[in-house]
Amino acid sequence: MIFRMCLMLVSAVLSAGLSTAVLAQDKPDSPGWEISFKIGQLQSALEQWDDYYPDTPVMLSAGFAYKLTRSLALGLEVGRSHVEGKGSLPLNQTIGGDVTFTKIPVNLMLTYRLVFNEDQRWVPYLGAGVGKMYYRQEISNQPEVEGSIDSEHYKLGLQFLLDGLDQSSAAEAKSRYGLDNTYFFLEYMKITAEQNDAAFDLGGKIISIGVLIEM
Amino acid sequence: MPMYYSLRYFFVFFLCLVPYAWAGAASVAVPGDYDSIQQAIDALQENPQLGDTVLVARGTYEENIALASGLTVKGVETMAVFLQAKVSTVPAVSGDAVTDAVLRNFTINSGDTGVKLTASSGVRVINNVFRMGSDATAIETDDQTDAEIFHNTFYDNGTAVSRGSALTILNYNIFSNNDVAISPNSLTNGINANCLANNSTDGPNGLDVVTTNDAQFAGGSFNDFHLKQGSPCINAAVGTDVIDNTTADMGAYGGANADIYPAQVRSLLVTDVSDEIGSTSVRLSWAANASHRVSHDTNPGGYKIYYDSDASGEPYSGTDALAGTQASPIDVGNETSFDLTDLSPASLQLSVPVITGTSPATGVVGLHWTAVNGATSYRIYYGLNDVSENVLEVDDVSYHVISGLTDGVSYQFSVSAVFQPHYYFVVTTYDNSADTNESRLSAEANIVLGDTAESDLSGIVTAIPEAAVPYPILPNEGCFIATAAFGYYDAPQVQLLRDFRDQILLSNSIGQSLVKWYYANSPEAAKYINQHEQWKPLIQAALLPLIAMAWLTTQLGWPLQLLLCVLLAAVTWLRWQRRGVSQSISGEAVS
Repeated sequence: MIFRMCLMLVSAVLSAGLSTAVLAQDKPDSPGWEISFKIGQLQSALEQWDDYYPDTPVMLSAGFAYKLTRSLALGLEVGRSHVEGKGSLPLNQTIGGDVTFTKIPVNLMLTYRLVFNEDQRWVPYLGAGVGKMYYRQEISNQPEVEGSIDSEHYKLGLQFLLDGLDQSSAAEAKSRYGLDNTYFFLEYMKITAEQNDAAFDLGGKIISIGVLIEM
Repeated sequence: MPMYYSLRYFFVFFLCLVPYAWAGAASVAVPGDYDSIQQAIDALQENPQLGDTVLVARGTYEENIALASGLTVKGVETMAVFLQAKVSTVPAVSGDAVTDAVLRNFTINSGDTGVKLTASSGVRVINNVFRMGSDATAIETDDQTDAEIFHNTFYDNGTAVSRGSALTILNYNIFSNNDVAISPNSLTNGINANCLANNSTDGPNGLDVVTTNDAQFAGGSFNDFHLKQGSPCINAAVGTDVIDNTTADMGAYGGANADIYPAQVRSLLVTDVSDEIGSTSVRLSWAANASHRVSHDTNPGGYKIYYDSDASGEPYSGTDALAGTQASPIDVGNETSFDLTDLSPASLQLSVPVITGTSPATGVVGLHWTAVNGATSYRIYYGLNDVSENVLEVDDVSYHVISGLTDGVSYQFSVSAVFQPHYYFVVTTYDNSADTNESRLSAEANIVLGDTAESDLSGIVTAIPEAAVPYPILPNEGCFIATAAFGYYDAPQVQLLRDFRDQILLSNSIGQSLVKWYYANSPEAAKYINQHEQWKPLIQAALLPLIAMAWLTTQLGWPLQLLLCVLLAAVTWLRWQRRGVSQSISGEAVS
């Protein structure tokens, strides 16, 4: 919990400090909201993951955020990964039983983007936050196991402004639908979801690609 | 012009004609070329070079089809191609401003209207059966339509034919058991040589009518509208029957466009009569085909038996009957029962299966083994101390899950291969025509004959049924309060409540909402209980009624549950009675 608080504090201070540098550049018609969709691979932090689950799960996420300033956004993101694997049979000393493991991370996050003008093509960003990692294990012919664990995360990424590639479409999207900027992004995220007294971490590393739209 | 050039031009001209000649004769198949009849009609309209006929295979088709000019829509076998209106208020078949369309060899048996023709000309509706029900109209035409309604059988319709004008001509049809055969009465022309049988109202008779109380169908109850010997509708039409080249019969199985197939043989039975006959023998029997072309007194058709001992389905190529002298098919003449004697069921020396793996789970063990060539089934032997304690016979599979086992106990398993000689039979009927037209195959019957062979047992393997432990082991946040109160997750009381949740609450939407609410609100309470040990006995006591209810509903069978309900109701009633009595006594005392 202390780590999470520190993360939040550092990210808030960092973002607030940096954002003041560019706050003056905020225009009245600057985008107020952003939504994002991303897909990535979750590299589990669990040591024996590969023994039980043959596939690296795909994490699909969607999020939205309110732009406190042009650079700083506070948002919520929900993801879902789903993988099928096996359990263990201790008496038989083998692996068996069909297990379906679903993780749903729900993250509250602060994101700071190093954006200095509206036409900036490449935008680095970083963020951090806290959340809940909901989980469900469905085991064939057995009661399912479900619950949640507190989590924290940080992320780094690079956004690429797509509007410059097709300015007429971008202009039409703005006039028709009020979409300001559209970015393609590549992101690295590290989620930690440990229980205090348990020797496991449901989190891991996620490398994602996605699309972010500012409105 | 030299002869050489003349021949060359003629040859080129001939080659140009070939595609047109071919196109005119071609047909498309449903299903096969197209999924639905209407898709096929539309395709032929767009691409006339594909042909001019939609040939519809046996089956039931739920569609509302629209005829198209110049196209023929034809079923393969009248009594096996059923057309039913998909939208009952829309005619099963519509023809609006079409010319020279043909609909033939269908049984139309669902919808408010079977065929509706408007502003059409040259449409022919021939050799169909209409059995729409007493609220429906089989065929309806308007006053602008000229159509030929020839050689159809109308049975059990509200109105069989409703004509808009005498341009719709009704010839050689059988009208039987309809509320109204022909409507309206005012139109009397264009009606020739029809058979009217047992209709509530016949309508206009027209010329050369045959009137009877019974058209004598071979099997109207199962849609066989072939005619029995002695039917007045036989040889009563004009023209020739394509089936037997005699004078045409009335109805769907008469004339030049009838389908030629006798009805499929029904009710095939096979019994083992080895003891009675003294050799390995079976007796086959089936329902007689009552059509006059099969069961005629002096010129009957007959039946053929097809058999095989290798495998189900075609080809039926058995050869061993009557000590190898009666190969399949056997023509048994006009009999409806026949003994196949001196059969020689195969005997096999089976190899031993090998168990390749086990898949234990809670209460079950899945067993994998190698398939053995020739095996018809397998026997699984299993037990705690000896595999002979239990035997389970399974089909010709190589994996089976043995259930009802106790978790945590080691079981032994072994498998053997089994061969049981099977014989498979079908019967067809053929008519008395020169071509001996043969029906499609009957439904298959089969029987086990001869001795069962069993291989030696496979090697013994052991496995322990047990619950799988998922990775990682995560806390289940179910039954938080009970877990906190009883101290550990696997407490029997907690398990009872968990069963109650899974079996009772989660089976209905109200219970699901309750569970959802509980999961959202109980963790805080559980946390409080964990922090205050002194409350646990009280909470345990408070949970007892709930645990008792969970036990009653999940562990007791319904007879005991019913008995308890009755007892509870009786006790409540007695208490209520006593209370009423005591109140009246105290009331009297006060007064």
